[in-house]
Amino acid sequence: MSRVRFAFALATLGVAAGCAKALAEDGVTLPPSPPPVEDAAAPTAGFADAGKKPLPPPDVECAEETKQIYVVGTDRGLYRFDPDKLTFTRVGTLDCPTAAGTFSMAVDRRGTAYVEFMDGRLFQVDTRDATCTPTAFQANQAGFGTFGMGYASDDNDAGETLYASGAGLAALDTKTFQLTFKGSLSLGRTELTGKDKELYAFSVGSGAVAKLDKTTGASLATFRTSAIDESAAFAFAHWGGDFWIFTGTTTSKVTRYSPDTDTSTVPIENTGILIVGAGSSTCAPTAPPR
Amino acid sequence: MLVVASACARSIEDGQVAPELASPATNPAPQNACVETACPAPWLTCGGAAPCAVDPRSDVNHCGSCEKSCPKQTRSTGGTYVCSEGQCQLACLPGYGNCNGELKDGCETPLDSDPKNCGGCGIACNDGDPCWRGACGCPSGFVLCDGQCTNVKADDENCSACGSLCRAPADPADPRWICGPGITPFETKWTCSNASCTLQCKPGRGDCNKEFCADGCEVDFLKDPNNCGSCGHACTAGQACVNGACLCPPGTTRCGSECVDTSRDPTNCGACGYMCPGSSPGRPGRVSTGGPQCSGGECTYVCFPGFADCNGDVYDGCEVEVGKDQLNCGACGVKCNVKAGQPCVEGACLTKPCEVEVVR
Repeated sequence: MSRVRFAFALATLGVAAGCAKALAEDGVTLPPSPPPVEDAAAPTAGFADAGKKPLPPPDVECAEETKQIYVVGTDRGLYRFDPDKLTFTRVGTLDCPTAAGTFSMAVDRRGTAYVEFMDGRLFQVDTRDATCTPTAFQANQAGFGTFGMGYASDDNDAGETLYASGAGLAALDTKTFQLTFKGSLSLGRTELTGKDKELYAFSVGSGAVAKLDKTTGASLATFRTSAIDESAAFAFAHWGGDFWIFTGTTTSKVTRYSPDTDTSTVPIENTGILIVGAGSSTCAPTAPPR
Repeated sequence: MLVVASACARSIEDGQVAPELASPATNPAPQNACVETACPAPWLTCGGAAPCAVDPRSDVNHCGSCEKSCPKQTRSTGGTYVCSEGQCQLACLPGYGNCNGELKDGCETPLDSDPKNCGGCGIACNDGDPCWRGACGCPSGFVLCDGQCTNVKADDENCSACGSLCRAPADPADPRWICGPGITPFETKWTCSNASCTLQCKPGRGDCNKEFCADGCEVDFLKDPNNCGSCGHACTAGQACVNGACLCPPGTTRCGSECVDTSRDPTNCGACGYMCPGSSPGRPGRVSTGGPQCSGGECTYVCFPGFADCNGDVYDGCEVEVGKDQLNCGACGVKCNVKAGQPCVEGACLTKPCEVEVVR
């Protein structure tokens, strides 16, 4: 039974994508448990409280925090994932005005995340503290109910574009919040990520990663990963030249796919979070750190 | 000679009567503005719709113009039409493509299984390679069994090879009976692992004391707070082991099997089970216009940009689209001159400068 407690205030606002054992890719009965949240000394992965560090100026591009991967879970938690250290840091809880569940996420160069919920609504989220602002995005545009998202740099170096994968590929203008249809997508339900100027889609049903033509949605090349689970929640991001794939049904594992060597590894078998959205900005490194 | 060349019947400049615009007292239009009825680009007035309420850039019923509607979805197209930038465009269903470029047969090619168009039009697989779920060949470690790429390292029905079932060996002398012929320890089963069929713990169970043949897989990883998810992984005081995870992380509260932040979760606002009003989904297909928010454990309701709650009833949400509503244009109660046909466009009653009477 749900009870209602309600201190009513009505506001009208202006306008305004855990842990460390390698997974044998075969019969695993239960993933190893995530390290305890309070266990900051967990050997290879764990949670930590983001704390109250001074926030960087909001309009600076490519601040250090924008060079990692952000993920959002079904618990409405926003986490920062460090692929180098394989650690998750909980930034906070999304306070977006909707009772719907989280669906997908992308992050821009200034550290603003766009989070879509299962009701099709799109919100702006500050990756520094998880505060949430509604956008003027009209749900169900062009048949896009729910969709994956990812940023890629523009070919003319003019900036970056947010792309959406739903009933095809579309560009999403974050000033007008209009979707512009680009073309059909060949893979099933997908998530997107950018690698500098390149745009990639991942389909959990096939484990395939496709490099996309940003102007038509056509697949230019396809790669195979081991992250195949038709019924899984999934998220997808690029970092350091590799693709980081989050899949799971009750808790997510992390699969790292290296296109250069065509190999999949599972550096984190149990994150302790069911991750549904991941985003890395175009500030993220495109080659492995030395 | 008086020359009046204006759509405005009169001008307020002459000190007589205000122009057409000036009727609703709530209209914030400037004093020297007149009613404008011509829609600014790209807006259109189509059929019975409110004036200037149609955006032909994205409206499938008025795509590019009032008269042009995009084709409906049919079986033959295998996709839907969307209106984008004023053009009807075919959006194929996932897994299909319009590889021949013809609209009459729509999305005719199955991209998830066609070796000549695998994952995309014109992407051909090497001879002999299957097209499986939109990519050529099987993933590493997978083998093609009955047309399906199968992980033979971990498939009990195809263990190490297609059709090889992982079952208890019929021969009692089989060395895989590691605890003795016919002995199956507690909570164990024959499982395909690393392409071999062996006795292993059932899912969610563990052999933490290493007495496999004596007490089998004695630990329940899903519930044991001392071995939560894995051997030796103990939950801390106050935490419970739920489905193999210690709940809950700091700053969150356990509500059922979930860990939530009751200060921010509108479905558990202030405490577990306290659901903010307005949380229920609307009618199927209806776009939500506002939503419940939980701040500091207290409920609020927020109208999304472009919408407002003008009747004060949270249960019908933010029922007015203030960007288009002639009676609530930009804000509740701001009325355009409906009688004069003044449209509300992007939250403002449409005006133009009044033309002044000129004496020559």
